[in-house]
Amino acid sequence: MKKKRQIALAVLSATVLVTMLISAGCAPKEEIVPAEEPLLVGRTLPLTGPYGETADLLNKGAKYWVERVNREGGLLGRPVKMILYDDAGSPDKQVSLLEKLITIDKVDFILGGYPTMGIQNQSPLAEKYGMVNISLGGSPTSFKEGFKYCFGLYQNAWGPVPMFDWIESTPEVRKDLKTMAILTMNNSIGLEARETCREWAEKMGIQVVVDDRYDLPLESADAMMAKVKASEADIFMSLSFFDDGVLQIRAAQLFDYQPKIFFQFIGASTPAFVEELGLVAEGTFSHAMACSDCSFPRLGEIHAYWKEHYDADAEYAPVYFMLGYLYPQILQIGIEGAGSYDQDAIRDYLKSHTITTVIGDITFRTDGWPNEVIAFNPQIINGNCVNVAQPEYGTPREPLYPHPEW
Amino acid sequence: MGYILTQSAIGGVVMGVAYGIMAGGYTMVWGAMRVINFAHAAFGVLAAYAVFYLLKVCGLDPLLSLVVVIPGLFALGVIMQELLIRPLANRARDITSASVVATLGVSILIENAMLYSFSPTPRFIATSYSLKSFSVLSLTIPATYLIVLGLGIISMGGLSFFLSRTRIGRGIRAVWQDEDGALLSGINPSLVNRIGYGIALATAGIGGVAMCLIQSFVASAQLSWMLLVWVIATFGGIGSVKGAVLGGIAIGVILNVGSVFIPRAYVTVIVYAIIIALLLIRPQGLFGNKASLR
Amino acid sequence: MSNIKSRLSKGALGVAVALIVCVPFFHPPIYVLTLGIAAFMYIGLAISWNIIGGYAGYISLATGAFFGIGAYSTGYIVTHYGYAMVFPGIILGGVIAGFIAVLIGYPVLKIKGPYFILASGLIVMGFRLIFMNTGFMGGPMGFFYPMIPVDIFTNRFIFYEVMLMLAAVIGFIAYRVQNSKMGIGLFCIREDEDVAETIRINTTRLKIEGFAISACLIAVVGGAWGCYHTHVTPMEGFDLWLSIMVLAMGLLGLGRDWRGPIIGAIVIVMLDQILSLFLFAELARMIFGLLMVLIILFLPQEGIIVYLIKAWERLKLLFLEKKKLEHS
Repeated sequence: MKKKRQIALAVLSATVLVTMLISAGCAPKEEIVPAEEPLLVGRTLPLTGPYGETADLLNKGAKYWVERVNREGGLLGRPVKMILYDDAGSPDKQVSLLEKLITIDKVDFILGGYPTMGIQNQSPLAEKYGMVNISLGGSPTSFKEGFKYCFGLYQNAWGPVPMFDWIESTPEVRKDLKTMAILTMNNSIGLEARETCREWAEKMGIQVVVDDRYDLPLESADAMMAKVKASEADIFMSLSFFDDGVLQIRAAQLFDYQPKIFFQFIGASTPAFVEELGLVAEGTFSHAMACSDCSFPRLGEIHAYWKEHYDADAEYAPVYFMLGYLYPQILQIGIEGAGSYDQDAIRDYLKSHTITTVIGDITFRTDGWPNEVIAFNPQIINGNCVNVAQPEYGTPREPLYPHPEW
Repeated sequence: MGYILTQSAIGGVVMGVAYGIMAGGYTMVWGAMRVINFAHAAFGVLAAYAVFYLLKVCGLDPLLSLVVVIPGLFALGVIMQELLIRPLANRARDITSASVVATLGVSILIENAMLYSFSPTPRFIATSYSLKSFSVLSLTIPATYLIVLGLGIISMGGLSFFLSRTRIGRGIRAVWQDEDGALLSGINPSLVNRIGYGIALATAGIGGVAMCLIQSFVASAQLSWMLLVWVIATFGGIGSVKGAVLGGIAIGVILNVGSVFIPRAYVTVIVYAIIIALLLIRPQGLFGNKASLR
Repeated sequence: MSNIKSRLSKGALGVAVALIVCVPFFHPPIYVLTLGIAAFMYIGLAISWNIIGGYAGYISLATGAFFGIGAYSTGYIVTHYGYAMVFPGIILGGVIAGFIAVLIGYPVLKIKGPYFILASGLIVMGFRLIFMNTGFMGGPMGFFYPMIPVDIFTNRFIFYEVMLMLAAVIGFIAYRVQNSKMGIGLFCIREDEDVAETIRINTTRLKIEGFAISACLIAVVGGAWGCYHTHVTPMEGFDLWLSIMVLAMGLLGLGRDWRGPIIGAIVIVMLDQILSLFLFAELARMIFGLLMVLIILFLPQEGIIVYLIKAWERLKLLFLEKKKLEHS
């Protein structure tokens, strides 16, 4: 009997071993790379799933960058090819697909993930492999770990700050607003912005009457809207993504709740938002980490490209399209500035120089964050998401107040 | 406060009815065939996608799409009974345990097929009446709520009627209560099982239609829908359609009204604890009877 | 004759094991090590699961809960006291998990059969909900283990050997349980719990002990995973899907032998990893779902090891008979 067991075990071990060796055998062989071989840039994006609308724009922006870089001679002479995987917002996929990009596809560079949770999931992996990882950043949490290769640009906590700033400095508006309702998704993005909302509410003497959280995906906003409606809060902060944001607006319409100020965190700046909601979108405040109507270098060409390829009627390219271009642009500046494809050289260059990008000049600190706080709260006016109340950037425009009837 | 409580309770009742429709079919199969169909809600989500695409492509109203959903899911039910449940019943030592794992597998299969075909983007149903509502006193009753209530009354009333008044329905109950006796009275158990399963999945489909009218859905929702369906059926009682509906309403109200006071997640954990306690003290549920468990 | 054969097969076994241990020394591509780490981790989990699932027949979906407890406990220790304390941290994770297993197990193990499967699933969901909604250890955002200051290949090398060693230790513990009085008691519970009770076996105590040992080991693996993955969130730490996969692995090898789940784990991990990476994850999971159905429909009750052995015997008999016919 023992003998049979031994045999079974031996067969088993052999199977394991053989499988391992076969996978090892299938490894791509190292080759000498001729100069015309393209540089591979790898990334994952949640193209499907609850973050899809904004991720799609990021992807379009990055594809424009690839086209443009190749048209202008490539990165230090070599053309660029992008490998993109859809991670659907799932943490497992974000990690395993990034690892696949690095170890199996053998990409030369990576771009950071999206959204904040994706960045948090992928940062440790990028750090372990020593690869420069440029993304929107989102949350300072991972950056506090002392990661050296990660670069961020925007913290979720800055989300509603410009809008609150405007309220505070406009007396006729401020005295009109006494109460605030906050509905936030239960993740880094929502929770960090919520902290900011609470701080500012306290600062301005505004009472927070509803403060609820929900897990994504949100199935129904009805239960929460009952509370918000009962509170008749003046300010409605919907710290949500696209789909849950739309659900909340619809619930507000259905239950006839009319706020004086309505803020929808992520998604309202995409063209799909206005398409989906039409006139109902009018007056919605949103967030942006880029100024559409500023005159930074190359920005005009980005707007022109969007008009030509996607929407001839648009005044500007959507913010997320600009950002889609921005992240690889920073990588490009790093490579060209360092004169090398080496990750460490790129990292060091980016942390020791002020660089000029489509969102302005950026100086990265050693912790990977910029010195500059670049945050806007545009508003949807006449169907366009435009900058308001920030005269130091572009054309000053008066915000629409109070929020129009649904 | 009164407004919030009443409005939440109304939302809870309607949500509970929608879940209850699904729980009704589930509990019938559980009682009659001792089969725990963990894929029940996955079929509901499938029906919701059918509604979505029929609306998008043909402009078909969700209620009219029932014409497609009901026979379609009935057919799937018969197929599932023949391909999976019957062979399982013949081979397994304990059909109930075996069915949990086997149908869990089926639910994973269906969920991922749907994920691949329809993508993980959340969907909602927007019809001309999605944003219409009625004002009663100071309360808001969306039109969709009334439709779901109507669906619940018709489908569960129909199911009850079927089980107690029609020949086949009574056959299902007879097989459940006394299999040998049923055989002796000339009832054909395989026909009865096939029809029973078909009807169960058809009601899962109706439940799915009801659900998509009041909330957004996505392929991976099948697991959270199923957990709640199972909780409601366990609460309401094995085999009891009445229990499923009342249990649904009870759980729906507890979840909604509870979340006015404490975060919804905690209410959910409390509900789980209640169910575990129930499984220990009275595993046949409120309206089930003990004999059905063995 | 049989002596030489048995020595040969022992030798073959030894060589195979040595080769597996030494794979990293051949400097294979990193994804081979990544695959190995996943495989050994699931082997450890599946063998631990089997102590309550296979030996006692209590098919549990609570694996994810104890895995998360391990990841969080070890994480707490490591983030506060550094990697110097990682071993006490992992042990602490095991102890806490065992303790919780006893606490929760006492009521939940009284639930029989199919309802136990579902109730144990609620445990994972409950933990996830609680951790997602309290601020403990970062709430929904989770927390990071500090980075181990070595290059990536060395990192993967270390964890390959660690997971392999853990799987071996867990296998040994399961082997000891299997051949002990406790093991026999658990087998009796699986056969027929009521009868076991009548012959004066303290089923409650045995079940809880089995559940607790299983939980401890699962949490230890969870702690090791935390150090490897370095980022722990309630979504990833308390994962029902992990429970489902481990359940399927255990069922594939369901039986009274600690080696059964090894095969289950390898088959499913290979399937999942290779299909997910090279085709797409949904297909891997669809096949997984189908596999679960097929396992329940067609796999014999006594488990895959015994089945394979019997099949092998039958094959040999057939071969011998053929030879006899040829000679005569």
